[in-house]
Amino acid sequence: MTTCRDLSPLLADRAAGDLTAAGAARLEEHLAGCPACRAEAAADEAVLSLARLPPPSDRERSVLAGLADSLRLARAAAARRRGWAGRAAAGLAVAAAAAAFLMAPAFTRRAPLLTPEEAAAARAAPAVAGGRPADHWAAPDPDELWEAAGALLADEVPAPAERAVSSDPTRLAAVSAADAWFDTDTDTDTARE
Amino acid sequence: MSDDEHGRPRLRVVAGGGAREAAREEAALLGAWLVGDDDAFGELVRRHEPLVLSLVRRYARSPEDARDLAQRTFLRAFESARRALTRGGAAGGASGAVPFRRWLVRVAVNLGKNHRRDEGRSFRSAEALAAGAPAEAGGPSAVERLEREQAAARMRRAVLGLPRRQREVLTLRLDGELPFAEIAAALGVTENAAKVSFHLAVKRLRAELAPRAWEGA
Repeated sequence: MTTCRDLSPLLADRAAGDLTAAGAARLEEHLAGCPACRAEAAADEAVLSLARLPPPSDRERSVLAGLADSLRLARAAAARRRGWAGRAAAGLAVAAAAAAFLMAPAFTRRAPLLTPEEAAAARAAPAVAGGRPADHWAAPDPDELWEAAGALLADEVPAPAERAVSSDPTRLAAVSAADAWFDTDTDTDTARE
Repeated sequence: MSDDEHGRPRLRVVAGGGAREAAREEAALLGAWLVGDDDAFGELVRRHEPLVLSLVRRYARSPEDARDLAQRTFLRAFESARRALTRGGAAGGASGAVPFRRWLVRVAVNLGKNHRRDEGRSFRSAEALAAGAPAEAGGPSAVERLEREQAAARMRRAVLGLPRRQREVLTLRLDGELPFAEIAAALGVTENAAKVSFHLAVKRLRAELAPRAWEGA
């Protein structure tokens, strides 16, 4: 014999609007003769009816109707911002490279230029001292500077997770990583469940 | 697909049936959007706009707020699609398929949650929506309508106060009218777990309503 307890999963499915045709027929037959289960079903319906949002008002409809257009504008603005950010990054990179070129001697000195005695000797013998600076600092390598600027100029440097995705041959891993990107923020109320 | 005057592929969507066909169309639309086809962008927005709007409405204080949330949802999902298709390679793959709709659902849920958290205790979306709701012609009396509106506002506040998973499942089902299989995929849980969360949410909401019924007796 079917009891109310047996049919409680069907009641839950009914509330969720996820009842199969066979389940619905079975449940309706039971509900016809069981006031307690009818009350349960009615209580579920009542609470879900209250929890539903009201239909959109006229004003809401009119505001939301412009979504596609406002999205286009937002997308164009975002592209412009990316453009400005890119140009700003390029400018900064060039400035950094130039500064590095000019400042390199100050950081690549291996020792004080000349002691007072050496300076005096140099003044006394300019032909010998003239060769010393080349021994004390090395000019920066233009190739290294160019590479450093290139790294700064790159539009976006992939995060470690994204680099892992790029090298992963499976689509599933890539999708999982993209999903993880949506969940970067923390949620404090998960623990309440 | 044909080429436009700039040599870029342009997509013409033709009617087709089945989820697989829809997925193929969506992949083609994303591919076309990626190479600059504005029509493909518009078509993707048009397809998913009703779902996204229905999901973010619950968290919005005003229609403008809902539009802003929907806009941010789309921009973020498009950005993730762009990353997956251009950088991942494997994510786009030969089929070019990315779960765009699933991402939209997930972004909408997360943005709504953050929006609610940022608004804190001053959140009044339920009242704002109730105030803007059209009155039913030939419906109950003004007093009865007011009482029902107050009960509904209370219930919608209770929905926002549900534990995260229960709230997500309930709103995806009630607002988005998504099947449980899709809810489960979007949230990364099993279909059975999604159903259990829905059931727990209903039980909890009923418990919220019960004391009020007793007070009114």
